[in-house]
Amino acid sequence: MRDKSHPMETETDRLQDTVIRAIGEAHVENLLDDLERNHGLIEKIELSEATKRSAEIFFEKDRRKRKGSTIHRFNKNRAAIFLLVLLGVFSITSLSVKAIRTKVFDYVVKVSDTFTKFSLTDVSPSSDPELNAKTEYYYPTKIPAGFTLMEKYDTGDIITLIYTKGNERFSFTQTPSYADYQLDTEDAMVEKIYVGEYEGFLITKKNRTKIFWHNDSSMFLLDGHVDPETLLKVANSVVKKP
Amino acid sequence: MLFLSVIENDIVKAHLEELYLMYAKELVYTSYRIIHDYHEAEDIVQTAFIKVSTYIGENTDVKCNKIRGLLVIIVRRLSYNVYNKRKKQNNISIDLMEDTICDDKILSPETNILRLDDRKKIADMLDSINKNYMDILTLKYVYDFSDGVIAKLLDTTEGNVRTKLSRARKACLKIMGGEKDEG
Repeated sequence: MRDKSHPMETETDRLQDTVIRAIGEAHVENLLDDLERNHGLIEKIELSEATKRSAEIFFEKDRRKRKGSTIHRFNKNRAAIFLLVLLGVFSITSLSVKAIRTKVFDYVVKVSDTFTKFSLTDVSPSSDPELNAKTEYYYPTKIPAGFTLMEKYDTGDIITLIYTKGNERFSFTQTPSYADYQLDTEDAMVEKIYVGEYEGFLITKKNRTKIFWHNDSSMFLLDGHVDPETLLKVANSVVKKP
Repeated sequence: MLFLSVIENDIVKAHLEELYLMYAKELVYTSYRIIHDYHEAEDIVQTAFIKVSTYIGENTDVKCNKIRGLLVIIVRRLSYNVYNKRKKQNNISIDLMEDTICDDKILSPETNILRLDDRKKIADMLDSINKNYMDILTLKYVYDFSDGVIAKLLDTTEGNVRTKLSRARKACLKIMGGEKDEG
C-alpha cells in the first residue's frame, strides 16, 4: 500500500501518519466525552459484591505490604541519618569548650505512613533545662524579592513569621529543641542538607518546599510555595535577634 | 481482581489500584454497552487491567487521559471480541463497510490539513463504519504500540493486526481523501 522507495511517497506517508495520529487523538477525546456525557449512568453502576470483595482483599493486602516496605526503607535511611547527625553534633561539641557543656542531641526522625516526625532528644547524661528554654528569637535577614512580613504569631514557645507576596506565602517557625514536628512526607522528596554547619532536611512535594533544621537550642521550619534554592538562601540568612 | 497478584512491582500496583478506583465503573459501563452482561463486563475490565499493567511504569501519570483512553480502548476491543464470538461472525463484512465510504470524499492531502478541525467528526464517522478501525489506528499512531504489542493487548495475532491496520488506514485515508483507489 505504501511505497517507501519513492521519496514523494515517504513525505505523503508522513503527512498521512500525522493526520491519522490527530484523528486517533480525536477518537480518544470522543470516547472520553461519551463517558462524561453518561457520567450519571456510570455513577449508578454497582460493581458486584464478588468483584468489590476481591478488589478490597487484594488492595488491602497489598497496601499493608507496601506500607511495611516503605517503613523498612525509611528505617534504613533513618539509621544512616541518625549516625551522620550524631557524628555531626559530636564534631561540633568537640570544637568548643562551651559546647562540651551543652547537650548532645540525638536527632530522631520517626517515619510513619504519611508523616515524618522530627524531634531532638536529649541523650546526654545530665540535662540542662536552661538550654531547652526559649531564650532566643531568630528571623531571616534575606527574603525573596517582593515578599514582606505580614504576620507574626508568638505563643511563647513557638514563634511563626508569615511572609507574603500577593497570593504567594511562606512561613518561618521556630520552636525550642524539645518540640516535635509532624511533617507531611507522603510522596515527597526528602534529602539531607546543611544550613550553615547544622544538618537539616529539604522536603519537596510538588511545588511546595519545606526546610527543617536545628541549632543547639532551637528547631526551625521554613514552609511555602517557594523553590528549594531560594528557600535555602532564606534558611542560611537566619540570625538571632539582638 | 486477584489476577493482579501476579504483578510484583509495588508502585505499579499502587497505580493500578488508583486506576481501578477511578475508572472501574466507567470501564464496566463501556463493556456492558457492547455485551450487555455485567458479570462478563467485570471480567473484561479485570483482564484489561492485567493487560495494561505491562505498559504502566513507576512514572506513569495515572490521572492523564491517555492512560484512561487506553483502558477504554482495550475494554472496547475485548468486549467486541466476546461479542463477535457470541455472534460467531464479524460485525459486518469489511468490503461492505468500505463500500459505504463515499468516493466523492477523495481529496488532496493538502485538504486533509484543512479538515483537521473536523477530526472528531471524522473519528466518529470511521468508528461508526467499523468499531475496529479507530481503536487499532489509535493504538498504533497515538500510543505508538508495535503490531506485536497490539496483538497481545487485543488477544489476536500480529498478522491479523497488520491486516486490520492496513484496512483501517486505507478507510481512514479514503474518508480524508488522501488515498486514491488502487484498482
